[in-house]
Amino acid sequence: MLHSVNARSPWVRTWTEIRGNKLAFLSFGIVVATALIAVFAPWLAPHSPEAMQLVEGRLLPPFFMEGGNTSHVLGTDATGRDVLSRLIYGSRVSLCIGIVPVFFGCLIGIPVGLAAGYLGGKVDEALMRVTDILLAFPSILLALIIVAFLGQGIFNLMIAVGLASAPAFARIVRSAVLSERNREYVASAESLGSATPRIVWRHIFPNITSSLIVLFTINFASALLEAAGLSFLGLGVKPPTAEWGAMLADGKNYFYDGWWMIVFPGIAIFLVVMSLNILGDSLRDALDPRAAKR
Amino acid sequence: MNRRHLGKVLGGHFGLLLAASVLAGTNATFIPSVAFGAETPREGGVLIYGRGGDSVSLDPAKETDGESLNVCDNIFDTLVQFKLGTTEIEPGLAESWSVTPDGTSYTFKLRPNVKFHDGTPLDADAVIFSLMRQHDAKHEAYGYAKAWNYWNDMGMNTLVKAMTKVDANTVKIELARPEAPFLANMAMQFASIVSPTAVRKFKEDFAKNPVGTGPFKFVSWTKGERIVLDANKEFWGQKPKLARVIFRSIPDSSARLNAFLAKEIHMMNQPTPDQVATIKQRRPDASVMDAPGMNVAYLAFNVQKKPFDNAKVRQALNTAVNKDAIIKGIYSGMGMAAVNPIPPSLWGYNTSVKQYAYSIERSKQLLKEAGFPNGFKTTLYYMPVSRPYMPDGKKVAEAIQADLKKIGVEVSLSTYEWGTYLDKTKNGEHEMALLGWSGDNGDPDNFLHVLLSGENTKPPAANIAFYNNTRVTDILRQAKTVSEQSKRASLYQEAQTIIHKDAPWIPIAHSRVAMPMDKRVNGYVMTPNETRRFNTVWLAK
Amino acid sequence: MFALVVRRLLFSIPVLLLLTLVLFLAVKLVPGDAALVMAGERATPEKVEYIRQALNLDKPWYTQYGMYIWRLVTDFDLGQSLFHDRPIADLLSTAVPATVELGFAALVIALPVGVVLGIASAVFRNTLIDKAATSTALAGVSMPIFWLALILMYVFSIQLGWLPTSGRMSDEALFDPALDSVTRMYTLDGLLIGLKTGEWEVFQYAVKHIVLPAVALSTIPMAQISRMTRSSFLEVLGQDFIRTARAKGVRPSMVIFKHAFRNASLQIVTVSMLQAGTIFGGAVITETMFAWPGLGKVLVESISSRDFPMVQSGTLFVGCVFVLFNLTADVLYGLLDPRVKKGA
Repeated sequence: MLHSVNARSPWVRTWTEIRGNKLAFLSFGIVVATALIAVFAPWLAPHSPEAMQLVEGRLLPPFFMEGGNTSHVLGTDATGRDVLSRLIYGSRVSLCIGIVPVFFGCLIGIPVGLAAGYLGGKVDEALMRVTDILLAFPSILLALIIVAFLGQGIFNLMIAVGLASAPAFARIVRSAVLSERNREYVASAESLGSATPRIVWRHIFPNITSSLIVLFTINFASALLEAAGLSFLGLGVKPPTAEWGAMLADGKNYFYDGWWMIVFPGIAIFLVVMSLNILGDSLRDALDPRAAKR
Repeated sequence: MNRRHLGKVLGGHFGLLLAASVLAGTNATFIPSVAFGAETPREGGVLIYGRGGDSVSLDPAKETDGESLNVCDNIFDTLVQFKLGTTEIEPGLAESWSVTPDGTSYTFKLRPNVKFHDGTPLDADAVIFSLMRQHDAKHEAYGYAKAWNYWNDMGMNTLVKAMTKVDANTVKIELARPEAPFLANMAMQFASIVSPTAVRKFKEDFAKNPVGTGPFKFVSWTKGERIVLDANKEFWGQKPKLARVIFRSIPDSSARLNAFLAKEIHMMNQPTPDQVATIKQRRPDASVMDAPGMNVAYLAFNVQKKPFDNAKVRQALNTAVNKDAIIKGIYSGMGMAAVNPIPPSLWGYNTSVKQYAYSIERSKQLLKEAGFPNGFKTTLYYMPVSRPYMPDGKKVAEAIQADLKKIGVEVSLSTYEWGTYLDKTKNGEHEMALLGWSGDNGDPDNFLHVLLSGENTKPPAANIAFYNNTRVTDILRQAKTVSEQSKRASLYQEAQTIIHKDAPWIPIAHSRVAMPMDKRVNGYVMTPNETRRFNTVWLAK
Repeated sequence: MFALVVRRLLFSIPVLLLLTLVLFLAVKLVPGDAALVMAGERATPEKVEYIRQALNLDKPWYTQYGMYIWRLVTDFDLGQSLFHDRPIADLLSTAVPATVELGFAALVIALPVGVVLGIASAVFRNTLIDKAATSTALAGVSMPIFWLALILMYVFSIQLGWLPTSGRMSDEALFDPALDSVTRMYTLDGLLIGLKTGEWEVFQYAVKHIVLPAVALSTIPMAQISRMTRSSFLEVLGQDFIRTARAKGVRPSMVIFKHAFRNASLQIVTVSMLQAGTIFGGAVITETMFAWPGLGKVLVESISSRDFPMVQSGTLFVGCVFVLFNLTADVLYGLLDPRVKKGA
């Protein structure tokens, strides 16, 4: 019975789910639009993201406020850089910083978790102890240390955040495997003499996809937020690179006289992260066989 | 229990007293002066000073950072001290002193009946103990610090020859050579007199349990949070009005701003220029004091390289730079255009020297006279880091680049990692370079001799203009040996006139230091050398 | 069970040794003369020499490592902070309780709120309640923590003036942390004083100071706990035995709380335990925002001041704590789901 539901490709069901759910469709649109903005940034941005105007043009408000103008639609920052252009260019770095580490984390974490959970025994013990080492470092601390020792930069940041997200994948996958393993259908498959990789692939993997998607979503969100946090601490991307988190950090001193420096990048992060989360939830509904049945 | 009681007096009792007197006031014709606030200095109250970091330690001879030294300012005294708000020397723990005519022997007569906070009397032994622990490797307390930084940085280790106790209240210090700025050095925090009893008792931990003679005494230190000092009612000088001072550490600058706006702190150290604007707008009940910092930012021409060996060229470039725009746009107004190499807060500043007025025509004219009617090409090094005297070297360089382009001088910009930058400029690899200096002891010698004497042009040189005018060098050397300040001042003024004409630098700016404070804070005085002393401060209700 | 705990603890020892080695080698990896790098701009020869000796940099690295471990094991000596010039244990003893207090306060908010939100939205799936709860969780997990902190500060401190923006204790309070604090957690101190003397002023001050940072810190764990609770509840509610129970006529609330909760708690516990890391990560930022002198702030400061002994020992300490956390998670896991023991 379970298998009959699984017969349709998860991707077809994903698309159907997105099409059928207005909120998910909207979120999907936002994510795709942001990606497109990132790709076409040079054609979309009205100004260079790094061009300053020191004497005239610092802290210009958005166009709809007194003193603002339509050349700088969302105003300018403390050194007279165009906020809209920085937002547009910032989407490149911010999206990369969010997604690359999570893929990296998946690539390491999933095999480890599957192996540990399924093989059990000594292998499990050893893998989980190594996972403990990584998990023992709160990811932001790991990132801080990597940045402290290797220096500031996007690449180091992504390694750090990615490495930090791997153990969470491993653990969740392992715990899911442990619960699944004990179910009758796996036990029966085992007793029927199926090969281990086949059991993992056919019986266990499909059943933990939902957990993985939820986790992927959460990690994408936290990676984005973590990058913002590191920028806030002055350890993220190097200035003058435009990145949403770094823009927020720049703006924190201007909460009162330059709210647009905080509000717009904040909204950008919030929107993208929120959309990804909504999307993830919807996908979960679509791909989780049991939830989908109801 | 006792201390808790004191706390009660501080926290609750004053409120009660005030309420009582206000109630009394409504009944009778007598109106208590506190109701009016500002007129009479009020006794008591807790001042909360918000700053950007915790102290490293509270031994003034060990540390070089402001957050450590500013707490020490209130706990300790020096033999001689800077007259509040100036760089002039006045008696401190020494009520008088004399110098031998050859300028190599100083005799300090100590103020009688001064006691340390722990009851130890201040005497010649305490003075010698405090200074010798930094000087003599065999001293019992020498090993209590990993390095006595300032003592060595200021060259005291080679300058001081001997220290002797003449009698219980007289100390004689002999120098290896005449050095007039020695007196100013003795007013710096590292020369603070510490309680020998306490040092012997606490050893290395004296830095956590400081005992001095100053207007406030150490109460407690919660690492990362706050340091509490209470009034020393037996203080020999102007007795503190405040009952207590709390140094709160709030490292994040926006958090500090919020704490000030929410009225959690009375004073806010190190606001950015834009934060000052915010405070003025959002807290009309606060005032913002500001004073020029004891520093200078400058562009040095390498006068050994063509075409900067020509004074006319240097003058032309001086005339072409629009300093006011730099101050407005890059310093956000928190600075003043520099005229001389020393800031105006220093004694010996020459007020008759006038700025090269900004004029493109005049500049072009000068260039033509110098033989460069069509300008020339050159390079400018700019600092990769933000310094107190120059918030953003890159932007300053870009502004200068744009200015010089108007007179036909094409400037290309380059920078290096900070250590390399200092190295390269000290070795004279540059044609033009941006740099600056923060003064140590408020003596003009500390600027002029260090930065512009011909004696300092040998690489690695502090004089990165490699300016070597024998007359100026002579004057500066002479000023070191004369001990009378007025005579020294006129020597320094003469030097400034010559330097201005020779124009080895474009003096750019002296940055200003701002201090936002609650309107209730009265009597605070800003000092050129950025000390923070609170015995003159009182807090209105 | 006892044997399991002992075994896990024993297994943790090589893990921690490996951790010290990795950290130790990381310090060695710093390019250039480590002593000079640490001494920085104002490096005097004395200072460089001092650092070199303090860290035994003149000896080969394995000797240095051996000495470090030896001192750690025999004297429990974490070494000396170069920047603060005092024992690292000293610094940790004030910073750790501050972070624990803050983290605990955040969890006190996050756990019940998260679990209730999660259960509510699972039980009332696809209703307005579900939508509201899910949106709250979504907003919580999508919000940059210092954005929220700024807004909280603006509203509650600056506009309304109800709560302080920074620090752990009012400066006007009679309570002097350095002298009066017993537990180094001021809310607990305040509670003790209140119970003993009947004066609750200190407690009130402490609570007022902890509310905003704790709320800011609680959002992400709260949201994640609620999301996990919801999804695991849905999974459990969809399973055969629950449907069987329902079919048998067991009351719905009983079904949820007895069966579903017990089954879903497995994942909730794992996620909550994993939140300890999130909380610490968030604390690094929250502590900076609210001038809360905890471990996160101390570590960030030691990184920026290149105080490598502090980084090394501080991280080791954090590592130990989190290894213990994971161990606890595993043990709880075993307690709650007897089946797991078979697999382990």
